[in-house]
Amino acid sequence: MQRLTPRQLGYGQYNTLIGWLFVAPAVVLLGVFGIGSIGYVMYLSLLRWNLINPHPVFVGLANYVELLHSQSFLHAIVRTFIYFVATTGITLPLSLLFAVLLNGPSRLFKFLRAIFFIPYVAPTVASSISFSWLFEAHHGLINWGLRLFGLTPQPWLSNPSQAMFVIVLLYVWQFTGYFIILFLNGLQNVPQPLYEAATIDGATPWQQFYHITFPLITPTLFFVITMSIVFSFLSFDQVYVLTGGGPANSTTTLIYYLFLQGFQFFHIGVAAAVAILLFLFLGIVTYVQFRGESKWVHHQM
Amino acid sequence: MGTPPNVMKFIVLAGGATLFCIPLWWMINTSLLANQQVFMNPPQFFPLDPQWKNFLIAWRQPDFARYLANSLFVAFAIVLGQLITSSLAAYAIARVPFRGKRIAYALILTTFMIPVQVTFIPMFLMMRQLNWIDTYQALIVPFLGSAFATFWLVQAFRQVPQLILDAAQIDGASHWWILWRIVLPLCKPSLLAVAFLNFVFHFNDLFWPLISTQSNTMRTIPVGLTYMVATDGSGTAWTILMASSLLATLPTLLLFIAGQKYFIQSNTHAGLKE
Repeated sequence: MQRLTPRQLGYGQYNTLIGWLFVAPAVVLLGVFGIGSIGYVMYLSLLRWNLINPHPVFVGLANYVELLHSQSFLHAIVRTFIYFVATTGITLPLSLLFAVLLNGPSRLFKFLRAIFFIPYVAPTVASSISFSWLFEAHHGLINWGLRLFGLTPQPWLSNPSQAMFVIVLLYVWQFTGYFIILFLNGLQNVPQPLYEAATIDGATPWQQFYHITFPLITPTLFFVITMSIVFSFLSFDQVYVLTGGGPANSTTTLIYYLFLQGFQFFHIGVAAAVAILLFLFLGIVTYVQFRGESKWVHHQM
Repeated sequence: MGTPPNVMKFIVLAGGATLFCIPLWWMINTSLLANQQVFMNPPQFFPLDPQWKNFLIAWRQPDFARYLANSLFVAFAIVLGQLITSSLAAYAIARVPFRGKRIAYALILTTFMIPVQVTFIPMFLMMRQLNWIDTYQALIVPFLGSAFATFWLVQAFRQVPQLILDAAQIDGASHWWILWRIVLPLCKPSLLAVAFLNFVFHFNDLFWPLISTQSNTMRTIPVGLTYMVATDGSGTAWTILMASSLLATLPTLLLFIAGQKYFIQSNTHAGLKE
Protein backbone atom coordinates (compact mmCIF):
# COMPACT_ATOMS: atom_id res chain seq x y z
CA MET A 1 0.00 0.00 0.00
CA GLN A 2 2.98 2.32 0.41
CA ARG A 3 3.07 3.35 -3.22
CA LEU A 4 -0.53 4.44 -3.31
CA THR A 5 -0.09 7.74 -1.60
CA PRO A 6 -2.40 10.70 -2.10
CA ARG A 7 0.55 12.78 -3.31
CA GLN A 8 1.27 10.55 -6.26
CA LEU A 9 -2.31 10.15 -7.36
CA GLY A 10 -4.16 13.29 -6.32
CA TYR A 11 -6.95 13.04 -3.77
CA GLY A 12 -9.84 12.28 -6.08
CA GLN A 13 -8.18 9.30 -7.72
CA TYR A 14 -6.67 8.11 -4.50
CA ASN A 15 -10.06 8.10 -2.80
CA THR A 16 -11.73 6.27 -5.65
CA LEU A 17 -9.02 3.65 -5.77
CA ILE A 18 -9.01 3.07 -2.01
CA GLY A 19 -12.80 3.20 -1.84
CA TRP A 20 -13.20 0.39 -4.35
CA LEU A 21 -10.28 -1.63 -2.97
CA PHE A 22 -11.80 -1.48 0.49
CA VAL A 23 -15.35 -2.39 -0.47
CA ALA A 24 -14.29 -5.04 -2.98
CA PRO A 25 -13.97 -8.08 -0.65
CA ALA A 26 -17.35 -7.49 0.99
CA VAL A 27 -19.07 -6.67 -2.29
CA VAL A 28 -17.67 -9.73 -4.06
CA LEU A 29 -18.52 -12.14 -1.22
CA LEU A 30 -22.00 -10.74 -0.65
CA GLY A 31 -22.55 -10.49 -4.38
CA VAL A 32 -21.72 -14.15 -4.96
CA PHE A 33 -23.18 -15.78 -1.87
CA GLY A 34 -26.05 -13.36 -1.30
CA ILE A 35 -27.32 -11.97 -4.57
CA GLY A 36 -25.82 -14.76 -6.67
CA SER A 37 -27.49 -17.35 -4.49
CA ILE A 38 -30.87 -15.68 -4.85
CA GLY A 39 -30.51 -15.67 -8.63
CA TYR A 40 -29.45 -19.31 -8.56
CA VAL A 41 -32.29 -20.39 -6.27
CA MET A 42 -34.78 -18.57 -8.54
CA TYR A 43 -33.47 -20.58 -11.47
CA LEU A 44 -33.56 -23.83 -9.46
CA SER A 45 -37.18 -23.18 -8.53
CA LEU A 46 -38.06 -23.54 -12.21
CA LEU A 47 -36.58 -27.04 -12.46
CA ARG A 48 -37.65 -30.53 -11.61
CA TRP A 49 -34.52 -32.13 -10.26
CA ASN A 50 -33.51 -34.72 -7.66
CA LEU A 51 -29.75 -33.94 -7.47
CA ILE A 52 -28.76 -37.34 -8.90
CA ASN A 53 -30.19 -37.03 -12.39
CA PRO A 54 -27.65 -35.17 -14.55
CA HIS A 55 -30.43 -33.58 -16.64
CA PRO A 56 -32.82 -31.39 -14.67
CA VAL A 57 -36.11 -30.73 -16.45
CA PHE A 58 -37.25 -27.14 -16.93
CA VAL A 59 -40.83 -26.95 -15.72
CA GLY A 60 -41.50 -23.22 -15.52
CA LEU A 61 -43.73 -22.27 -12.63
CA ALA A 62 -44.98 -25.82 -12.06
CA ASN A 63 -43.29 -26.10 -8.66
CA TYR A 64 -45.10 -23.00 -7.43
CA VAL A 65 -48.42 -24.24 -8.76
CA GLU A 66 -47.83 -27.59 -7.10
CA LEU A 67 -46.99 -25.92 -3.79
CA LEU A 68 -50.11 -23.77 -3.81
CA HIS A 69 -52.20 -26.90 -4.33
CA SER A 70 -50.36 -28.92 -1.72
CA GLN A 71 -52.20 -29.38 1.54
CA SER A 72 -48.97 -30.04 3.43
CA PHE A 73 -47.45 -26.76 2.22
CA LEU A 74 -50.53 -24.70 3.04
CA HIS A 75 -50.64 -26.31 6.47
CA ALA A 76 -46.97 -25.42 6.97
CA ILE A 77 -47.81 -21.78 6.19
CA VAL A 78 -50.66 -21.78 8.70
CA ARG A 79 -48.46 -23.42 11.36
CA THR A 80 -45.70 -20.91 10.78
CA PHE A 81 -48.15 -18.05 11.30
CA ILE A 82 -49.52 -19.66 14.45
CA TYR A 83 -45.96 -20.09 15.69
CA PHE A 84 -45.11 -16.47 14.86
CA VAL A 85 -48.26 -15.05 16.49
CA ALA A 86 -47.86 -17.17 19.63
CA THR A 87 -44.13 -16.54 20.09
CA THR A 88 -44.31 -12.82 19.35
CA GLY A 89 -47.55 -12.36 21.26
CA ILE A 90 -45.85 -13.60 24.41
CA THR A 91 -42.26 -12.44 23.90
CA LEU A 92 -43.01 -8.86 22.86
CA PRO A 93 -45.09 -7.71 25.88
CA LEU A 94 -42.92 -9.72 28.26
CA SER A 95 -39.66 -8.20 27.06
CA LEU A 96 -41.15 -4.69 26.97
CA LEU A 97 -42.36 -5.11 30.55
CA PHE A 98 -38.97 -6.33 31.76
CA ALA A 99 -37.18 -3.60 29.80
CA VAL A 100 -39.28 -0.88 31.42
CA LEU A 101 -38.68 -2.41 34.85
CA LEU A 102 -34.95 -2.86 34.21
CA ASN A 103 -34.36 0.61 32.79
CA GLY A 104 -31.79 2.06 35.15
CA PRO A 105 -28.14 2.00 36.08
CA SER A 106 -28.38 -0.21 39.18
CA ARG A 107 -26.01 -3.16 39.44
CA LEU A 108 -28.88 -5.51 40.21
CA PHE A 109 -30.52 -4.48 36.94
CA LYS A 110 -27.31 -5.17 35.03
CA PHE A 111 -27.14 -8.60 36.60
CA LEU A 112 -30.77 -9.38 35.75
CA ARG A 113 -30.29 -8.22 32.16
CA ALA A 114 -27.43 -10.70 31.88
CA ILE A 115 -29.61 -13.46 33.34
CA PHE A 116 -32.31 -12.85 30.75
CA PHE A 117 -29.75 -12.62 27.95
CA ILE A 118 -27.95 -15.90 28.65
CA PRO A 119 -30.54 -18.11 26.88
CA TYR A 120 -29.87 -16.15 23.68
CA VAL A 121 -26.18 -17.02 23.91
CA ALA A 122 -26.64 -20.74 24.59
CA PRO A 123 -26.60 -22.99 21.50
CA THR A 124 -30.17 -23.65 20.39
CA VAL A 125 -29.44 -27.35 20.13
CA ALA A 126 -28.32 -27.50 23.78
CA SER A 127 -31.34 -25.47 24.90
CA SER A 128 -33.64 -27.72 22.90
CA ILE A 129 -32.16 -30.78 24.58
CA SER A 130 -32.66 -29.13 27.94
CA PHE A 131 -36.32 -28.46 27.07
CA SER A 132 -36.83 -32.02 25.90
CA TRP A 133 -35.67 -33.14 29.34
CA LEU A 134 -37.84 -30.60 31.19
CA PHE A 135 -40.90 -31.70 29.21
CA GLU A 136 -40.08 -35.41 29.23
CA ALA A 137 -43.34 -37.28 29.82
CA HIS A 138 -42.40 -39.60 32.70
CA HIS A 139 -39.61 -38.03 34.69
CA GLY A 140 -39.57 -34.45 33.40
CA LEU A 141 -39.60 -31.56 35.86
CA ILE A 142 -42.71 -29.95 34.34
CA ASN A 143 -44.89 -33.03 34.75
CA TRP A 144 -43.60 -33.46 38.29
CA GLY A 145 -44.72 -29.87 38.94
CA LEU A 146 -48.16 -30.61 37.48
CA ARG A 147 -48.54 -33.67 39.71
CA LEU A 148 -47.48 -31.62 42.70
CA PHE A 149 -50.44 -29.31 42.09
CA GLY A 150 -52.75 -32.27 41.55
CA LEU A 151 -52.91 -31.79 37.77
CA THR A 152 -52.68 -34.50 35.13
CA PRO A 153 -49.23 -34.97 33.60
CA GLN A 154 -49.22 -34.22 29.88
CA PRO A 155 -47.56 -36.05 26.98
CA TRP A 156 -46.08 -32.71 25.70
CA LEU A 157 -43.79 -33.57 22.79
CA SER A 158 -45.86 -36.53 21.58
CA ASN A 159 -49.09 -34.50 21.46
CA PRO A 160 -49.53 -32.29 18.37
CA SER A 161 -50.78 -29.09 19.99
CA GLN A 162 -48.62 -29.45 23.09
CA ALA A 163 -45.48 -30.00 21.01
CA MET A 164 -46.18 -26.64 19.36
CA PHE A 165 -46.60 -25.12 22.81
CA VAL A 166 -43.17 -26.41 23.89
CA ILE A 167 -41.35 -24.95 20.88
CA VAL A 168 -43.18 -21.66 21.45
CA LEU A 169 -42.00 -21.59 25.07
CA LEU A 170 -38.45 -22.33 23.98
CA TYR A 171 -38.58 -19.31 21.67
CA VAL A 172 -39.90 -17.11 24.47
CA TRP A 173 -37.08 -18.28 26.70
CA GLN A 174 -34.43 -17.72 24.02
CA PHE A 175 -35.43 -14.32 22.68
CA THR A 176 -36.91 -12.37 25.59
CA GLY A 177 -33.46 -11.29 26.78
CA TYR A 178 -32.44 -10.14 23.32
CA PHE A 179 -35.60 -8.08 22.89
CA ILE A 180 -35.12 -6.59 26.37
CA ILE A 181 -31.78 -5.19 25.19
CA LEU A 182 -33.34 -3.81 22.00
CA PHE A 183 -36.14 -2.16 24.00
CA LEU A 184 -33.66 -0.74 26.52
CA ASN A 185 -31.83 0.88 23.61
CA GLY A 186 -35.11 2.43 22.52
CA LEU A 187 -35.94 3.58 26.03
CA GLN A 188 -32.69 5.54 26.16
CA ASN A 189 -34.14 7.87 23.56
CA VAL A 190 -36.99 8.90 25.83
CA PRO A 191 -36.02 12.17 27.51
CA GLN A 192 -36.11 11.88 31.32
CA PRO A 193 -37.59 15.39 31.89
CA LEU A 194 -40.85 14.18 30.32
CA TYR A 195 -41.30 11.72 33.20
CA GLU A 196 -40.41 14.32 35.78
CA ALA A 197 -42.96 16.72 34.33
CA ALA A 198 -45.59 13.98 34.20
CA THR A 199 -44.93 12.98 37.80
CA ILE A 200 -45.37 16.58 38.91
CA ASP A 201 -48.67 16.69 37.03
CA GLY A 202 -49.74 13.59 38.93
CA ALA A 203 -49.64 11.00 36.11
CA THR A 204 -49.73 7.36 37.23
CA PRO A 205 -46.97 5.00 36.08
CA TRP A 206 -49.42 3.42 33.63
CA GLN A 207 -50.39 6.82 32.19
CA GLN A 208 -46.71 7.67 31.86
CA PHE A 209 -46.09 4.45 30.00
CA TYR A 210 -49.07 4.86 27.70
CA HIS A 211 -48.61 8.56 26.88
CA ILE A 212 -44.84 8.99 27.00
CA THR A 213 -42.91 5.74 26.72
CA PHE A 214 -45.09 3.89 24.26
CA PRO A 215 -45.32 6.58 21.54
CA LEU A 216 -41.61 7.29 21.75
CA ILE A 217 -40.47 3.70 21.43
CA THR A 218 -42.64 2.81 18.43
CA PRO A 219 -39.56 2.72 16.17
CA THR A 220 -38.05 0.08 18.44
CA LEU A 221 -41.37 -1.73 18.62
CA PHE A 222 -41.56 -2.06 14.84
CA PHE A 223 -37.94 -3.13 14.69
CA VAL A 224 -38.51 -5.83 17.32
CA ILE A 225 -41.62 -7.10 15.52
CA THR A 226 -39.62 -7.35 12.29
CA MET A 227 -36.86 -9.24 14.06
CA SER A 228 -39.42 -11.54 15.61
CA ILE A 229 -41.00 -12.30 12.23
CA VAL A 230 -37.58 -13.17 10.84
CA PHE A 231 -36.53 -15.26 13.87
CA SER A 232 -39.80 -17.18 14.07
CA PHE A 233 -39.96 -17.88 10.35
CA LEU A 234 -36.39 -19.19 10.44
CA SER A 235 -36.54 -21.28 13.63
CA PHE A 236 -35.05 -24.52 12.42
CA ASP A 237 -32.85 -25.98 15.17
CA GLN A 238 -35.67 -26.05 17.72
CA VAL A 239 -37.92 -28.09 15.44
CA TYR A 240 -35.13 -30.37 14.26
CA VAL A 241 -34.08 -31.34 17.77
CA LEU A 242 -37.33 -31.28 19.74
CA THR A 243 -39.92 -32.69 17.38
CA GLY A 244 -38.45 -33.43 13.94
CA GLY A 245 -41.53 -31.66 12.58
CA GLY A 246 -43.90 -34.06 14.29
CA PRO A 247 -45.96 -35.50 15.80
CA ALA A 248 -48.10 -35.85 12.67
CA ASN A 249 -46.38 -32.84 11.05
CA SER A 250 -47.83 -30.59 13.75
CA THR A 251 -44.58 -28.63 14.05
CA THR A 252 -43.47 -28.67 10.41
CA THR A 253 -43.03 -24.96 9.82
CA LEU A 254 -41.97 -23.46 6.47
CA ILE A 255 -38.24 -23.61 7.13
CA TYR A 256 -38.52 -27.22 8.23
CA TYR A 257 -40.67 -28.00 5.19
CA LEU A 258 -37.91 -26.48 3.04
CA PHE A 259 -35.33 -28.68 4.78
CA LEU A 260 -37.43 -31.84 4.27
CA GLN A 261 -38.10 -31.11 0.60
CA GLY A 262 -34.53 -30.09 -0.20
CA PHE A 263 -32.34 -32.26 1.96
CA GLN A 264 -34.45 -35.30 2.84
CA PHE A 265 -36.55 -35.88 -0.30
CA PHE A 266 -34.15 -34.05 -2.67
CA HIS A 267 -36.98 -32.22 -4.43
CA ILE A 268 -34.58 -29.40 -5.25
CA GLY A 269 -37.01 -27.44 -7.42
CA VAL A 270 -39.81 -27.54 -4.86
CA ALA A 271 -37.47 -26.62 -2.00
CA ALA A 272 -36.08 -23.74 -4.09
CA ALA A 273 -39.61 -22.47 -4.70
CA VAL A 274 -40.28 -22.55 -0.95
CA ALA A 275 -37.03 -20.63 -0.41
CA ILE A 276 -38.11 -17.98 -2.92
CA LEU A 277 -41.53 -17.55 -1.30
CA LEU A 278 -39.90 -17.31 2.12
CA PHE A 279 -37.36 -14.83 0.81
CA LEU A 280 -40.02 -12.66 -0.83
CA PHE A 281 -42.11 -12.54 2.33
CA LEU A 282 -39.21 -11.83 4.70
CA GLY A 283 -37.56 -9.48 2.22
CA ILE A 284 -40.73 -7.41 1.93
CA VAL A 285 -41.17 -7.32 5.71
CA THR A 286 -37.58 -6.18 6.25
CA TYR A 287 -37.80 -3.65 3.45
CA VAL A 288 -41.02 -2.15 4.75
CA GLN A 289 -39.48 -1.84 8.22
CA PHE A 290 -36.36 -0.24 6.79
CA ARG A 291 -38.21 2.28 4.62
CA GLY A 292 -41.32 2.84 6.63
CA GLU A 293 -39.61 3.48 9.92
CA SER A 294 -39.47 7.21 9.41
CA LYS A 295 -43.03 7.49 8.16
CA TRP A 296 -45.36 5.76 10.57
CA VAL A 297 -43.75 6.39 13.83
CA HIS A 298 -43.42 9.14 16.35
CA HIS A 299 -39.91 10.41 16.53
CA GLN A 300 -38.40 12.26 19.35
CA MET A 301 -38.85 15.99 18.99
CA MET B 1 -53.44 1.41 46.47
CA GLY B 2 -52.52 -1.97 48.00
CA THR B 3 -48.92 -3.06 47.49
CA PRO B 4 -46.41 -0.29 46.83
CA PRO B 5 -45.17 -0.24 43.22
CA ASN B 6 -41.58 -1.07 44.16
CA VAL B 7 -42.58 -4.31 45.84
CA MET B 8 -44.66 -5.27 42.80
CA LYS B 9 -41.74 -4.45 40.54
CA PHE B 10 -39.41 -6.59 42.62
CA ILE B 11 -41.82 -9.55 42.66
CA VAL B 12 -42.29 -9.46 38.88
CA LEU B 13 -38.54 -9.23 38.23
CA ALA B 14 -37.53 -11.86 40.76
CA GLY B 15 -40.26 -14.23 39.57
CA GLY B 16 -39.36 -13.71 35.93
CA ALA B 17 -35.64 -14.17 36.50
CA THR B 18 -36.25 -17.34 38.52
CA LEU B 19 -38.41 -18.85 35.78
CA PHE B 20 -35.81 -17.95 33.18
CA CYS B 21 -33.10 -19.67 35.20
CA ILE B 22 -34.91 -23.01 35.36
CA PRO B 23 -33.83 -24.55 32.03
CA LEU B 24 -30.16 -23.73 32.55
CA TRP B 25 -30.27 -24.70 36.21
CA TRP B 26 -31.89 -27.99 35.31
CA MET B 27 -29.15 -28.65 32.79
CA ILE B 28 -26.41 -27.93 35.35
CA ASN B 29 -28.18 -29.88 38.08
CA THR B 30 -28.82 -32.98 35.97
CA SER B 31 -25.28 -32.96 34.61
CA LEU B 32 -24.00 -33.37 38.17
CA LEU B 33 -26.37 -36.10 39.36
CA ALA B 34 -25.73 -39.81 39.45
CA ASN B 35 -27.72 -41.82 36.92
CA GLN B 36 -30.18 -43.30 39.38
CA GLN B 37 -30.87 -39.91 40.98
CA VAL B 38 -32.30 -38.57 37.73
CA PHE B 39 -35.51 -40.54 38.07
CA MET B 40 -36.14 -39.92 41.76
CA ASN B 41 -39.45 -38.64 43.03
CA PRO B 42 -39.40 -35.89 44.22
CA PRO B 43 -36.57 -34.78 41.93
CA GLN B 44 -33.18 -33.80 43.28
CA PHE B 45 -33.00 -30.02 43.01
CA PHE B 46 -29.39 -29.73 44.09
CA PRO B 47 -26.49 -32.04 43.31
CA LEU B 48 -25.47 -32.71 46.89
CA ASP B 49 -22.85 -35.19 45.78
CA PRO B 50 -21.74 -33.67 42.46
CA GLN B 51 -20.63 -36.27 39.94
CA TRP B 52 -17.87 -34.36 38.15
CA LYS B 53 -16.95 -37.52 36.31
CA ASN B 54 -20.04 -36.99 34.10
CA PHE B 55 -18.12 -34.24 32.33
CA LEU B 56 -15.17 -36.53 31.81
CA ILE B 57 -17.47 -39.17 30.33
CA ALA B 58 -19.10 -36.55 28.10
CA TRP B 59 -15.71 -35.26 26.96
CA ARG B 60 -14.52 -38.77 26.13
CA GLN B 61 -17.44 -39.57 23.88
CA PRO B 62 -16.20 -40.37 20.38
CA ASP B 63 -15.30 -37.18 18.48
CA PHE B 64 -16.76 -34.87 21.13
CA ALA B 65 -13.58 -32.82 21.48
CA ARG B 66 -13.26 -32.72 17.71
CA TYR B 67 -16.80 -31.34 17.28
CA LEU B 68 -16.09 -28.65 19.83
CA ALA B 69 -12.74 -27.74 18.27
CA ASN B 70 -14.35 -27.58 14.82
CA SER B 71 -17.03 -25.20 16.04
CA LEU B 72 -14.52 -22.97 17.77
CA PHE B 73 -12.22 -22.89 14.76
CA VAL B 74 -14.98 -22.26 12.24
CA ALA B 75 -16.72 -19.55 14.26
CA PHE B 76 -13.41 -17.87 15.01
CA ALA B 77 -12.30 -17.92 11.36
CA ILE B 78 -15.64 -16.56 10.16
CA VAL B 79 -15.68 -13.72 12.66
CA LEU B 80 -12.09 -12.74 11.94
CA GLY B 81 -12.78 -12.71 8.20
CA GLN B 82 -15.99 -10.74 8.68
CA LEU B 83 -14.24 -8.15 10.81
CA ILE B 84 -11.65 -7.62 8.10
CA THR B 85 -14.02 -7.42 5.12
CA SER B 86 -16.62 -5.41 7.05
CA SER B 87 -14.27 -2.84 8.56
CA LEU B 88 -12.65 -2.17 5.21
CA ALA B 89 -16.01 -1.77 3.50
CA ALA B 90 -17.53 0.20 6.36
CA TYR B 91 -14.61 2.61 6.47
CA ALA B 92 -14.81 3.27 2.74
CA ILE B 93 -18.55 3.82 2.96
CA ALA B 94 -18.49 5.95 6.08
CA ARG B 95 -15.35 7.94 5.46
CA VAL B 96 -14.01 7.89 1.90
CA PRO B 97 -15.71 10.01 -0.76
CA PHE B 98 -15.62 7.98 -3.98
CA ARG B 99 -17.65 7.43 -7.12
CA GLY B 100 -19.95 4.45 -6.97
CA LYS B 101 -20.15 4.44 -3.20
CA ARG B 102 -23.95 4.57 -3.21
CA ILE B 103 -24.15 1.57 -5.52
CA ALA B 104 -21.73 -0.44 -3.40
CA TYR B 105 -23.61 0.35 -0.21
CA ALA B 106 -26.98 -0.33 -1.81
CA LEU B 107 -25.72 -3.76 -2.88
CA ILE B 108 -24.50 -4.54 0.61
CA LEU B 109 -27.75 -3.37 2.18
CA THR B 110 -29.78 -5.43 -0.28
CA THR B 111 -28.11 -8.59 0.94
CA PHE B 112 -29.14 -7.56 4.45
CA MET B 113 -32.65 -8.57 3.42
CA ILE B 114 -31.61 -12.08 2.38
CA PRO B 115 -31.83 -14.56 5.25
CA VAL B 116 -28.91 -16.99 4.87
CA GLN B 117 -31.20 -19.98 5.32
CA VAL B 118 -32.99 -19.35 2.01
CA THR B 119 -29.65 -19.46 0.20
CA PHE B 120 -28.62 -22.86 1.59
CA ILE B 121 -29.82 -24.85 -1.42
CA PRO B 122 -27.82 -22.88 -4.02
CA MET B 123 -24.91 -22.59 -1.61
CA PHE B 124 -24.92 -26.35 -1.13
CA LEU B 125 -24.82 -26.82 -4.91
CA MET B 126 -22.00 -24.28 -5.27
CA MET B 127 -20.02 -26.13 -2.61
CA ARG B 128 -20.67 -29.38 -4.44
CA GLN B 129 -19.39 -27.93 -7.70
CA LEU B 130 -16.27 -26.66 -5.96
CA ASN B 131 -15.80 -30.06 -4.33
CA TRP B 132 -15.90 -28.34 -0.97
CA ILE B 133 -18.58 -30.44 0.69
CA ASP B 134 -17.24 -31.77 3.99
CA THR B 135 -14.37 -29.29 4.21
CA TYR B 136 -13.63 -26.28 6.39
CA GLN B 137 -13.90 -24.05 3.32
CA ALA B 138 -17.57 -24.94 2.98
CA LEU B 139 -18.14 -24.07 6.63
CA ILE B 140 -16.26 -20.78 6.49
CA VAL B 141 -16.00 -19.13 3.07
CA PRO B 142 -19.72 -18.47 2.35
CA PHE B 143 -19.97 -16.36 5.51
CA LEU B 144 -16.85 -14.21 5.18
CA GLY B 145 -18.87 -11.20 4.08
CA SER B 146 -21.50 -9.86 6.44
CA ALA B 147 -24.05 -7.21 5.58
CA PHE B 148 -25.03 -6.96 9.23
CA ALA B 149 -21.45 -6.36 10.41
CA THR B 150 -20.83 -3.85 7.63
CA PHE B 151 -24.00 -1.92 8.38
CA TRP B 152 -23.24 -1.94 12.11
CA LEU B 153 -19.68 -0.69 11.59
CA VAL B 154 -20.77 2.02 9.15
CA GLN B 155 -22.94 3.40 11.95
CA ALA B 156 -20.02 3.24 14.37
CA PHE B 157 -17.40 4.70 12.02
CA ARG B 158 -19.66 7.66 11.20
CA GLN B 159 -19.47 8.71 14.84
CA VAL B 160 -15.72 9.25 14.79
CA PRO B 161 -15.18 13.03 14.86
CA GLN B 162 -14.18 14.40 11.44
CA LEU B 163 -11.64 16.71 13.11
CA ILE B 164 -9.42 13.81 14.09
CA LEU B 165 -9.49 12.37 10.57
CA ASP B 166 -8.82 15.78 9.00
CA ALA B 167 -5.83 16.28 11.25
CA ALA B 168 -4.41 12.90 10.27
CA GLN B 169 -4.99 13.57 6.57
CA ILE B 170 -3.29 16.95 6.73
CA ASP B 171 -0.30 15.16 8.24
CA GLY B 172 -0.30 12.96 5.15
CA ALA B 173 -1.74 9.78 6.67
CA SER B 174 -3.11 7.20 4.26
CA HIS B 175 -6.62 5.77 4.62
CA TRP B 176 -5.09 2.47 5.59
CA TRP B 177 -3.22 4.11 8.46
CA ILE B 178 -6.24 6.12 9.60
CA LEU B 179 -8.44 3.03 9.64
CA TRP B 180 -5.89 0.90 11.44
CA ARG B 181 -4.53 3.44 13.91
CA ILE B 182 -7.46 5.77 14.61
CA VAL B 183 -10.86 4.41 13.60
CA LEU B 184 -10.56 0.79 14.70
CA PRO B 185 -9.12 1.55 18.17
CA LEU B 186 -11.83 4.17 18.75
CA CYS B 187 -14.58 1.76 17.71
CA LYS B 188 -13.40 -1.21 19.73
CA PRO B 189 -16.69 -1.60 21.64
CA SER B 190 -18.69 -1.81 18.40
CA LEU B 191 -16.21 -4.26 16.88
CA LEU B 192 -16.39 -6.49 19.94
CA ALA B 193 -20.18 -6.38 20.04
CA VAL B 194 -20.64 -7.37 16.41
CA ALA B 195 -17.89 -9.99 16.68
CA PHE B 196 -19.62 -11.51 19.67
CA LEU B 197 -23.08 -11.60 18.08
CA ASN B 198 -21.78 -13.22 14.91
CA PHE B 199 -19.59 -15.63 16.85
CA VAL B 200 -22.64 -16.79 18.79
CA PHE B 201 -24.63 -17.21 15.58
CA HIS B 202 -22.01 -19.28 13.78
CA PHE B 203 -20.85 -21.28 16.77
CA ASN B 204 -24.45 -22.29 17.46
CA ASP B 205 -25.65 -22.80 13.90
CA LEU B 206 -26.98 -26.24 13.09
CA PHE B 207 -28.57 -26.01 9.65
CA TRP B 208 -25.56 -25.28 7.42
CA PRO B 209 -23.06 -27.69 9.06
CA LEU B 210 -25.76 -30.33 8.98
CA ILE B 211 -26.06 -30.18 5.19
CA SER B 212 -22.53 -29.15 4.19
CA THR B 213 -20.57 -31.77 6.16
CA GLN B 214 -20.78 -35.55 6.23
CA SER B 215 -17.88 -37.06 8.16
CA ASN B 216 -17.48 -36.96 11.92
CA THR B 217 -14.16 -35.17 11.58
CA MET B 218 -15.93 -32.18 9.98
CA ARG B 219 -19.07 -32.04 12.10
CA THR B 220 -19.55 -29.17 14.51
CA ILE B 221 -20.80 -29.39 18.08
CA PRO B 222 -24.49 -28.61 17.40
CA VAL B 223 -24.60 -31.46 14.87
CA GLY B 224 -22.66 -33.70 17.25
CA LEU B 225 -25.15 -33.02 20.03
CA THR B 226 -28.06 -34.09 17.87
CA TYR B 227 -26.32 -37.43 17.31
CA MET B 228 -26.11 -37.98 21.03
CA VAL B 229 -29.86 -37.52 21.33
CA ALA B 230 -30.59 -39.76 18.39
CA THR B 231 -28.30 -42.65 19.26
CA ASP B 232 -29.47 -42.89 22.83
CA GLY B 233 -32.92 -44.10 21.86
CA SER B 234 -35.07 -45.34 24.71
CA GLY B 235 -32.67 -45.30 27.61
CA THR B 236 -31.48 -41.71 27.35
CA ALA B 237 -28.48 -41.06 29.59
CA TRP B 238 -29.72 -37.65 30.70
CA THR B 239 -26.76 -36.94 32.98
CA ILE B 240 -24.24 -37.32 30.15
CA LEU B 241 -26.48 -35.58 27.64
CA MET B 242 -26.84 -32.60 29.96
CA ALA B 243 -23.09 -32.58 30.68
CA SER B 244 -22.43 -32.57 26.91
CA SER B 245 -24.93 -29.76 26.35
CA LEU B 246 -23.36 -27.73 29.11
CA LEU B 247 -19.87 -28.21 27.67
CA ALA B 248 -21.25 -27.02 24.32
CA THR B 249 -22.74 -23.95 25.99
CA LEU B 250 -19.59 -23.02 27.86
CA PRO B 251 -17.58 -21.24 25.10
CA THR B 252 -20.25 -18.67 24.22
CA LEU B 253 -21.30 -18.34 27.84
CA LEU B 254 -17.75 -17.57 29.00
CA LEU B 255 -17.27 -15.09 26.16
CA PHE B 256 -20.50 -13.40 27.15
CA ILE B 257 -19.52 -13.16 30.81
CA ALA B 258 -16.07 -11.84 29.91
CA GLY B 259 -17.33 -9.15 27.56
CA GLN B 260 -20.74 -8.45 29.05
CA LYS B 261 -20.29 -4.71 29.33
CA TYR B 262 -19.80 -4.42 25.58
CA PHE B 263 -22.73 -6.55 24.55
CA ILE B 264 -25.67 -5.62 26.69
CA GLN B 265 -24.90 -2.30 28.29
CA SER B 266 -26.63 -0.94 25.18
CA ASN B 267 -25.56 2.00 23.11
CA THR B 268 -22.12 0.77 22.19
CA HIS B 269 -21.35 3.90 20.22
CA ALA B 270 -21.85 6.15 23.24
CA GLY B 271 -18.23 7.10 23.80
CA LEU B 272 -17.80 8.54 20.34
CA LYS B 273 -20.42 11.24 20.08
CA GLU B 274 -18.99 14.58 19.03
